[in-house]
Amino acid sequence: MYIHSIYKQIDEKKTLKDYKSDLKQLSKINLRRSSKFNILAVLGAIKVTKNIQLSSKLGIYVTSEYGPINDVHKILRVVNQEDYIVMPFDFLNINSNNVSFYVSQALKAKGKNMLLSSEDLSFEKGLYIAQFDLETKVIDDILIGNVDESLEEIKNYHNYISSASDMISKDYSIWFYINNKKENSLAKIDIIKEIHEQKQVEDFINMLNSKNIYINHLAKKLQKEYDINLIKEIHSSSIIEKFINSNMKELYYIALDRNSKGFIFKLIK
Amino acid sequence: MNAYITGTSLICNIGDDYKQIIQNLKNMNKENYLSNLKKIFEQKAYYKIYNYDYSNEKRYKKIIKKVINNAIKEAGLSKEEQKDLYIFIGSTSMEMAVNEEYRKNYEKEESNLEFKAIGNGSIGEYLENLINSKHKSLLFATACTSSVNALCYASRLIKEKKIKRALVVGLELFNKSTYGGFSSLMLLSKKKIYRPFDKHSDGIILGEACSAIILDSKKRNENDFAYLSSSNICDNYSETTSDPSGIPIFEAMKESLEKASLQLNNIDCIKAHATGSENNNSSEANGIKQLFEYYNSHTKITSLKPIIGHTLGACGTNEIVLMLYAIRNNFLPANFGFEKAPNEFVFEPLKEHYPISKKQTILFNYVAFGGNNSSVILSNKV
Repeated sequence: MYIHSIYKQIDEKKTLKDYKSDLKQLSKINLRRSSKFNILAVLGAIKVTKNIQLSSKLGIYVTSEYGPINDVHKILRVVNQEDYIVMPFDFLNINSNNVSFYVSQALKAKGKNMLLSSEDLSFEKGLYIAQFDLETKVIDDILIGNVDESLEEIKNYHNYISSASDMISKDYSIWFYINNKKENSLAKIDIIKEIHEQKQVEDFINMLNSKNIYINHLAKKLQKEYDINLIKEIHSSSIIEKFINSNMKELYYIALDRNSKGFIFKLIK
Repeated sequence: MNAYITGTSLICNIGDDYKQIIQNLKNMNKENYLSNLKKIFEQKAYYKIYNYDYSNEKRYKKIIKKVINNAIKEAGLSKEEQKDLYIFIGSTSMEMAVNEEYRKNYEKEESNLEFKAIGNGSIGEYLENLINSKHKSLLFATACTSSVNALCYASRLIKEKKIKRALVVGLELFNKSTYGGFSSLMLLSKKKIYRPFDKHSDGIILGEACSAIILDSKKRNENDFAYLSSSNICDNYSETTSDPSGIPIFEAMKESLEKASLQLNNIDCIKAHATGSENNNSSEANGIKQLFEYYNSHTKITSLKPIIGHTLGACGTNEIVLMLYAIRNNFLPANFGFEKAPNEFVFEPLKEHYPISKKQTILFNYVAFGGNNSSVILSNKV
């Protein structure tokens, strides 16, 4: 399958107000009371589809590790109080599935939309599922986003996440428009291979003769044995953008969870 | 290749195993329904799971463990087959109750942790470890269609020979955030009588339940249900209500029939979503009306939420398991609480349990917040 458009927004200092203001310039959708999570997603989806005629059989897949975590944080403060009242918008904002609805509404898309998660590999597993929908012709085009809010508002957030304990958490909204048409594409996702154990990765790397092998933080231990590169962001989907904007002709991207399950992707230009 | 349901399990308000659930379901009738509700809603209008009075975290684990073990046992899977199960999970609130408990303990300075986990992926990892699965689990968050969408993906992956077998889990346990949210949206029944499609229906009554379904490429028993088809359509009308015309709901049901190359007269019963909210009652009834008109035919309609409550993201698999239990016992469950339909309805759901043979083709319909509509057809006639 072929990538036709990509958009990456990674920020550490932008506020909800900033994002709302950015969105206002792009769309009339009313997200006045909505979460940063929803707005980040809608912004990215609008930008990545800017010059694209959307297909009627478009599948929208929002993938996320933490969902609307800052709104969950907010509501958890409320519900343990005596005579607590959950305000309607606060409740709607913790319903993480709303994110794909808003993306769909902003784009006036009628196809399927969903939010998918898989510990440490939400984007990779989501892409695997989206590819399946494309392959079985349930959809003609994939709009997939990897969206997460920064965890900086959560005290000691490193205690809860398994990856990249030495890194700053940022707002991520990374989006791809993908289909089976080769013409005018930016890159091809040539292989998506599921991995069950580290040995499979090692066998795969041993077979390769490439300098362009990138791994996520949870696969870091492989660097001891092999001359491979570490993806610098917590969200490893960012490597796809790096590949597209580089001179590399091919790239292998390995994303594992802490139990060494995961995926190998091969990208070519 | 087909995907067959070879193992099922459910823990809900009316029991925590097959025998208990079916016995209680068989005993339910028009006469005792209202008195039962009075009894179970004495403290709160909520369909609670009984006999799991532990901390929220322990409760989650106990319920999940039992439901999965029972489904695996029913499917007769070996340890090796268990390892090869791909895990699909559907839920609205995921682990919210556990996070609420962690926050409470943190505020009481009894713990240093504000959260059990950030994000919901850890539930998947817990299940992977529980059954020793070698595959990465996937969580679906599409509101009330979460677990049915999980089931449809698992089934399609088996049909297309991408995977051999799967474990699908629907999980929804009580938490204050969800209950408070539905309450503030004014969607809950004030009269505390669950009666979807009835003229006097006045809202939703929430419930908690957890179910597990084992899907396999091979049939194990003659009456195992097969996945025939499904559809998933987006209705952009509103975040919390369906298009009142019912068109997207009709389209979802029609598409699943077309994909299965079936006519409406091939369907023995439609299990409606039927939340009992004003909008869902009328929009789904409109969708069904259009379906009946399109096929110039009709079929039986029922709904299961009056039995176990609206279990949100888990209702997909919860209601499939409950329905299959009833079919195994030669009846379709009644749409309890229903007495009289509004004038514009073209159907009356089943008022009492309806005797049937064990061979059935059922269309399960689901509608969710965020306009996510899903229909799935299961049959054991193939």
